Amino acid sequence: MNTQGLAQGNRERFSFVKFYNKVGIFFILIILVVICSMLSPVFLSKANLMNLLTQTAVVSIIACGITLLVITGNTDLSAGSMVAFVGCVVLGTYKSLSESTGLASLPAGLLAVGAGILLSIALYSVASFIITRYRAPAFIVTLAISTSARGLALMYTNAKVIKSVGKIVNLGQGKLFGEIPFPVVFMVLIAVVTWVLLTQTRMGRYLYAIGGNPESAKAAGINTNRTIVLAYLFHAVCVAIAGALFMSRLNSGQPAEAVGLEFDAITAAIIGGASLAGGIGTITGTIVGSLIIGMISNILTLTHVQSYYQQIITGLVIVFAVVVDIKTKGGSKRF
Amino acid sequence: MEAYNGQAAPPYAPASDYILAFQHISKDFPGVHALSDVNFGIRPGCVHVLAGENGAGKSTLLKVINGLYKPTEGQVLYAGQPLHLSGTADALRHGISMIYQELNIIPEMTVLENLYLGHETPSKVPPFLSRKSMARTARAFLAQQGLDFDLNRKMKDLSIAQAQMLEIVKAITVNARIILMDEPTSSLTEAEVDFLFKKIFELRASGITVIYISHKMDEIFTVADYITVLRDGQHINTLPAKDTSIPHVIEMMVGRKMTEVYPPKQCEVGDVVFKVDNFSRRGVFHDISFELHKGEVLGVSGLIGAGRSEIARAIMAMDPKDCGDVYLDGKKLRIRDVNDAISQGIALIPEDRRRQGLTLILSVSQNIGLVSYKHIFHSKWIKHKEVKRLVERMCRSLSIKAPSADTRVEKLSGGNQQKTVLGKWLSIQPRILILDEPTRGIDVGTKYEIYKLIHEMCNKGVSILLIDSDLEELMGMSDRVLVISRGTVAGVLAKPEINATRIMHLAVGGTGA
Repeated sequence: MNTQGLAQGNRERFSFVKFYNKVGIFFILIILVVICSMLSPVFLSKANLMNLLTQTAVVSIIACGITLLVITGNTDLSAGSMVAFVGCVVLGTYKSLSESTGLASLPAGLLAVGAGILLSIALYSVASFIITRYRAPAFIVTLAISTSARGLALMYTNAKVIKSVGKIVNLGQGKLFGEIPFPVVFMVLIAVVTWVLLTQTRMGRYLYAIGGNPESAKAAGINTNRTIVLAYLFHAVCVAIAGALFMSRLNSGQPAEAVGLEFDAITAAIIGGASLAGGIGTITGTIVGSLIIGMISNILTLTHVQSYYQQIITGLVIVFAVVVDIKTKGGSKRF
Repeated sequence: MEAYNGQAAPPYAPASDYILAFQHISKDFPGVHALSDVNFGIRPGCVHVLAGENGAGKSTLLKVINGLYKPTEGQVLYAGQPLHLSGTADALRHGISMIYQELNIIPEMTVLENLYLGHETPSKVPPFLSRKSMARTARAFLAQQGLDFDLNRKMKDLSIAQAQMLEIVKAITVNARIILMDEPTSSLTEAEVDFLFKKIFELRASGITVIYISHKMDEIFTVADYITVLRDGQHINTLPAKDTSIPHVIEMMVGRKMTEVYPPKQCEVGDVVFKVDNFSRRGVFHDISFELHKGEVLGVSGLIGAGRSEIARAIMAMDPKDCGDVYLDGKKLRIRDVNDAISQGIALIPEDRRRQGLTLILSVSQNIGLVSYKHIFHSKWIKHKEVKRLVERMCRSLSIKAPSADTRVEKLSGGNQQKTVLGKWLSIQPRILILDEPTRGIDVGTKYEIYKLIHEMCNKGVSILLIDSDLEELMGMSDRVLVISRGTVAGVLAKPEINATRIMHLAVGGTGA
């Protein structure tokens, strides 16, 4: 059977699915850039592009972690609430550290972010333990965690906004060499780390294998539960950093903010080619997906479209992304 | 099986009386011509077998008949009229019913609900259903078919074989004129196969046409009135079964002469290297002990459900066991998980390659490389170049036919998929290789390649545990045969004593005599 000869000799008919799977996402990004630059003359200005990147940074960072989870066939619906809780704790810790102990801003900042990361890891440990130990569906467990985390955030802050947080605002609003905003720096760093993890390490291969077929992964000697827990812990670090950036950029700890960030992140991953059924996904795709979502909301703001229309359009984009996911990859409806 | 030969097939109808006639049927998929210009006819009231290697187009043709696929070119005549089907439901209305290779049952629903799915009997008050009348007719019908099922049991509690029996009965309930069967016996025991064949002959006697796909030659010649051989999507020949023979059909299937079914084994069996001692798991297997020599093929025979795969999985620590030890070179091994087994050089090619052997959506290279990262390269980082070299070597030595190493495994034929699983496990150069049904659902040509590979491994000093339900194959390949019956060792047969009756006798629980 000469399948090789057959495959090459056959005339190829145009197929949206194939085309999309190959170049689709980058192509769509380029088309969007062209359309946006035509719609608004400010779009391509340096200031707006930096602004766009800064706005997408938080979602992109969460999306990096979520991509790992989606690849293993899991998900996280608690990212938004966790960003709020962890972000508030980071700012609150920083505030009390610098006010009560008079610690300098750098060590206080490091300690505060460190505390946030530990807290996030602790909560996601619980979530991933329940998911792997009891084989509970990830979306239900993380939905429950989301509810609790939002409550914890309100409890921690007494449902009040934490104000006058001091110099930690530099984390969210400052710029490296006076040029590149810190959130963008972190986004690039985390994207690179995640890319390395996914493409250059054994664990990366295992994540794909687990999402693709957990049984065969087990048969190959992969500790699937441990690997999934590790993916959640990596995601926990992403979420903690995202939380610190998000709240410090707002210059206040706002427990009721960051609602629905997880959906933006999941949408970014799906637009970027990840499959909800697991086993498929890339970091470059996810980052591009995140930029696409950011650009849509950016151009809508630039062209003075009212915010409720923006929400409607974002909703449509999510539906579109899911349909494309099913059409191109046969992903199941795991939500 | 002898008994059926007495029942004569109905006299062959004249050529104009085809119930199904294929006229220039072609079916293209992107990159593949699954069927090209197929022309032949199927006579009514006959059992017509479609034979061919995997990828020859048999299943595609069935799906064309069944309305799942529309032919790219050509037409099907059904009792002389062009057949245009909008789907499987439409096919069913035309009296064409299919028994699928993979069962389409709803596990959480009861036997009764599954039987009546889609054609439930309404009660006098329409939106409600009349359970009573359905149960009554179903019970009567099952009894008439010689089956006894509790109608209120959930489908998931039935064995695969029982579920399959029910599928067949279901196909009969819809008053089909043509019944299509795609490898219906792949998970049935001998007794169940006999039952199925009896049903098939009853169907034929009542004038129903059966179109049957199987890879098992003895089965084909037991049931077939006519045999059509397909190869690479082309129609090779259609012959009355009585005018042909197994070697002839195989020759047509592979397109070359098969001089030998099993290649001769050259290597000598050495000393005992591997020992399984007193393996027990409550309710599954009990006191299993056996030895494996260097370069030996130890066949493991037994009925389905005897516990053979479970024993293999317990050796690998994939399934639990209550007690038992494993010795390699006289040393007791401590195997707590699969990784321990792999690092001791024990590898298992699992029974169900799509479920346990492969990650279908990943590439050939990712599948083959999966165990190498830890067990060959011993690194947390991927060594891309080394992995690539390893994968290329395995693809070459196993002659895996794929457009590239980055092709997804799901796009490959069954044979090449199985070779990919083999590549994954041979890459770690195992000393003990456990093969669980290594040739199931694989075409004849690839089977032969796998036989040769088994012997090559033996020559290298690898010891092989071959679990195989194909008795013919098991006897052809094994140096000794271990027979498992209801979870215990029923006997071990050395080369001169290996024969089918002895094995079956032990397998069904007879004494060793």
